Amino acid sequence: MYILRRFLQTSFVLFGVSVVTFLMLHVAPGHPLQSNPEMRLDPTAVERWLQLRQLDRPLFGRYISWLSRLFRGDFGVSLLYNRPVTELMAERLPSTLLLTVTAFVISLLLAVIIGTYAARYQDSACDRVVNIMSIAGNSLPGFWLGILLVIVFSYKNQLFPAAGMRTPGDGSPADIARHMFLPLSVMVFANFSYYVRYVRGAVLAVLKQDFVRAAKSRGLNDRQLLFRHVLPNAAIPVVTIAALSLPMLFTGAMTAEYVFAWPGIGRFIVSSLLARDYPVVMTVNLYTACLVALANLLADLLYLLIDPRLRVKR
Amino acid sequence: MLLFERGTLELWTGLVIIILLGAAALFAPFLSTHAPFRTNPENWLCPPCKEHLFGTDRLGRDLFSRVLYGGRFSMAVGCLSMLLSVGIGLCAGLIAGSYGGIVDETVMRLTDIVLVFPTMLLVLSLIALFEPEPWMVVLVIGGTGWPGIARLVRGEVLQLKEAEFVSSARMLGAGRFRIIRYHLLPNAVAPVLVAATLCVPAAIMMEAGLGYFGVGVQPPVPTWGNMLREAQLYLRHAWWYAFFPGLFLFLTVFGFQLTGEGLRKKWGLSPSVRRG
Amino acid sequence: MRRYLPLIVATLAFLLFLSVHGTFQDRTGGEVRNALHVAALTDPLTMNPVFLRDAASEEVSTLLHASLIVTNPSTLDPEPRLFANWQQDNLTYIFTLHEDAVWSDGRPITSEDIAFTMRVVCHPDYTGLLYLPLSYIEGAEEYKKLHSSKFADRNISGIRAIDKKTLQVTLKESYAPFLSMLSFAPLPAHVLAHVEVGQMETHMYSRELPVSSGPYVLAEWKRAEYVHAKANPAYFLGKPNIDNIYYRIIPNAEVQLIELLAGKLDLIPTAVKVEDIAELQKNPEIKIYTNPRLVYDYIAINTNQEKTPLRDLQVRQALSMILDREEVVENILLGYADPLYGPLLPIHFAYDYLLETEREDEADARRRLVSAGYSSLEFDMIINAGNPVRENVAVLLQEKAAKAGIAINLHFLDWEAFLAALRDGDYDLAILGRGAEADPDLSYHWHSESRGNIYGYKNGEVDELLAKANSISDKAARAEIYRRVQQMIVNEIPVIWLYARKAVHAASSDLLNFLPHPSSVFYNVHEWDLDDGG
Repeated sequence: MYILRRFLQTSFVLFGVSVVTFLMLHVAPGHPLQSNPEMRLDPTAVERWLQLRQLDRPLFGRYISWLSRLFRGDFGVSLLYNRPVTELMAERLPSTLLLTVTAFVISLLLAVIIGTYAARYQDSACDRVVNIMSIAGNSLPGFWLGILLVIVFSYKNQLFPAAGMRTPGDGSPADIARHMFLPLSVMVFANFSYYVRYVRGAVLAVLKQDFVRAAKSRGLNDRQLLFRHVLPNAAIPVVTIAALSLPMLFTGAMTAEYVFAWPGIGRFIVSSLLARDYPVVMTVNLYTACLVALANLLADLLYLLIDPRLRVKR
Repeated sequence: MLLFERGTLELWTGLVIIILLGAAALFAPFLSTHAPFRTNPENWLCPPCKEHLFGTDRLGRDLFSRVLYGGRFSMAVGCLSMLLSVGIGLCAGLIAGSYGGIVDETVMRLTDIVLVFPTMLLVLSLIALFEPEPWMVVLVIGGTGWPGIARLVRGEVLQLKEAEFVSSARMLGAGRFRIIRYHLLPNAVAPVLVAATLCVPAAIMMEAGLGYFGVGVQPPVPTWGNMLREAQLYLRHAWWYAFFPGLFLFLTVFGFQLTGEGLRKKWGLSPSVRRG
Repeated sequence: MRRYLPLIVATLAFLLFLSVHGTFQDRTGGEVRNALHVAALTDPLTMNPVFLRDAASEEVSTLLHASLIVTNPSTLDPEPRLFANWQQDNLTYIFTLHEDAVWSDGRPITSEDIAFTMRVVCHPDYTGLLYLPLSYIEGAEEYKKLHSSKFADRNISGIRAIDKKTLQVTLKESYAPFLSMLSFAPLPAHVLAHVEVGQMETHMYSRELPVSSGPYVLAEWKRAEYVHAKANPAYFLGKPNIDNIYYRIIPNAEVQLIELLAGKLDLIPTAVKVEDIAELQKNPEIKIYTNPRLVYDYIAINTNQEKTPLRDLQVRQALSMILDREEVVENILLGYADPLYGPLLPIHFAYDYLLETEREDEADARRRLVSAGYSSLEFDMIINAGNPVRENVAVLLQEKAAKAGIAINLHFLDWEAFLAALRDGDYDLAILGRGAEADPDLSYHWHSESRGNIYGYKNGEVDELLAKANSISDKAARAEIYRRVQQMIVNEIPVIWLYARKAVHAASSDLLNFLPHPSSVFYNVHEWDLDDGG
């Protein structure tokens, strides 16, 4: 029953999102081909262009036709690139996934190791350093860090390339790894700082529970305790956090991609937004919102698994 | 050792940073060594020196002064957006929590709609609609930052509703409004205060991000974000151009985050899970 | 946990090793040899030569397509390319196509291809930028209005393919710039004849370019990363010397430079920042090329609002006198531009070096304001954000105007908002750029009935003179007319001309025979070569 309700709520939210996205972009002035005084464009050609793309029709009609095409899996054609939006996104998804998944895995791994360690030695100097570092990491603007990294690692020392994903004509794994290093560093740093606090908190919470104390008194050593009792129990909140950040894997990291000219979805979003490429922005918005809504649903269901009391309470 | 207990250290360090930077921003007209808009085309991209503590930009404007003025702007945007977010969030949360039923459902679904957009994407789309005047930036950032707070407040209210002192107040015949005003609100203060403190750095960061993407408040108004954007074109010649605005941005956000963290620890609250 | 720690550390170390590893390899190792890496700021949008609307697409297009004619890089006179020669008899032109011209799939490029391309451009569903000059062809306007099929079929009366290699074009009236406007590339009729004109922009041809006519063919287009072009062995001017060209998209000019200095780029066309030139000139591995471009920046003046002081000539004169163009060129553009006082560029044959205009004079500007009856004025100026030169010019103007008693409020808008403000007339002053054509014909912007005359400039005598200049083909006589027209336009200050920036290219010194053209970098790309001795 609860699950059904959550599904209903989610679909309502998605409907709202579609309306909001649509309105937002169609109230905005301009389209990619509007009268640009720097271009010798014939006004009748612009009219024709709008007609061919059905942009001259009234708002409500356009929304309905957009929605109905959406259900048939047709997300529209980019006004700028004149190609189906899904195709444009599919082209950029692999590079985004490469970057985000790697960053996700590395930062989660680091966070689990260091977070657990910090919790085990709560209030030690190490714990404090981790704590401050994670707050600092959360406060560090990604674009600033990116710029500094470019100055240090690409200009002062030509260690890592500052832009792109590969050297054209090369594209070997080593080449891609080298291009990935700087954007990856920015992302890992940010994500790690975010995750580590939760890992630490989750482990601490488990450590304080009775069954852990009991296990300790049974004479289990640190390692046994950690792997048999603490980590399995701390895993669920951590997995929840991970589930909530899943959408980010697909939308990419706008900042890192923008700074380092990574050919992914994040950069695509920003440039399409600035160019008022409606079909792209609407699709991206909707797609992201769906992912987030689903991730939330997933996280809620996970909670349900851990804490059955919630079933009644909600 | 007392200093290390329950977030005291974080709280005080954070407060000191905020106060110092806030004062620097507030007294920018007195502290700055040059007028922030004054150009000097012959003296462009001059490195930090006695005359120009943080160097100069492409038009020979003094970066120290511009960074200070940028601070004014960032702080103002941060605080005003926070007030707006907290205001909307409080209202929405209180209404949803105390009325329940269909009202609750409607308000919370609206909250969800805003919440499922990644904040940056939503703010970028909205800002693209309007001319990026400063108050517009506040409105957009503040207007999109409230769902987290609304959820928090609603949760608190639901919990408190069950509490004995509230039900006894109700039995004594207190009206709904009175219960909200005298019983629910004061008890939800601590978590809201923490959330509000954390709202400020989020807004500041968002504003800088907008400036960096080139859609925030536009030059020549100095903001840290648009200074960083300009600096991108001179990375090789002028490290100071990118370094100082970013450093101030980082310190400000860091200060607020520390304070928030300190408060959170002091009051023994757990970190909230959802971002934005 | 401890047990796994070494494993994890080892994995991370391995990743790190992988990423650093490549750095120390020989730079040419693993890369395709004989390749040129060219920088671009944005991704091209289309490969279709008749739907070009952005700079990146245009640039790539000159690499992949051969245009009908080219203009000479220094005189801008039309010169043969696909059209090997031509004769003009009054209103009739007879063009002969280059004997060896073939598509990259081996089929000959015929006069029917050219006629087809012209029909596409004149088709009612065509939405590109090429129609205006072709509208002078006899029957083109009727075709645009009345053609009913969705395809570019049936003939335009003024266009006739005499044989496979000969094309006859008849104009409805004399139009001197016609030849120089033919610098566009044809479409392959055998690929596109059965495609609706309205669908051509989205057609597979526009993104995969299976057939091309230019010195290079499209090998791979990695979106948002690079375009890989391979030498076309069938190119009619001979196979290019450089086998591969990578057109790399790097959105930040500074990062482009970092990559050039690291040896990962060989050419940054057009957009080298003026601040970097002095330093690059000292670098023996890099060569700087500059040449004039066919673009200029100006300040638009909105006189459409009633009661705006800008309708007063003396106010416009004062405004025009505030900003010292030479100072702007010297300080902001560091000399890499020509100060501009009128509507033609120094590279045009009809440019008037003796144009009489107001030069910078603050006191005089102030005096004119007072004599026009204003003690102080306030204007709103819009500038598109993200163009540092224009932003800096605006800030300078603001500062100087304040001294003359004119307050200028600057509004930096993002591009779309900027266009919207222009369209709605929501501004007093605006800094804009404008592209000029190779021919000095001024009617597009200044003839009172032209669509391009967006500021509503109206002068009957200018209209007459412009029409007359288009009807004669003698250069000297045209130049004389344009001299008068320029002076007449400048006297009324419909806009304030600022400067014409030069193109500044930075190339690796290994690049040989690079000859940039005012409107295209790849003008003679088939002659370029790489010095592999160095």
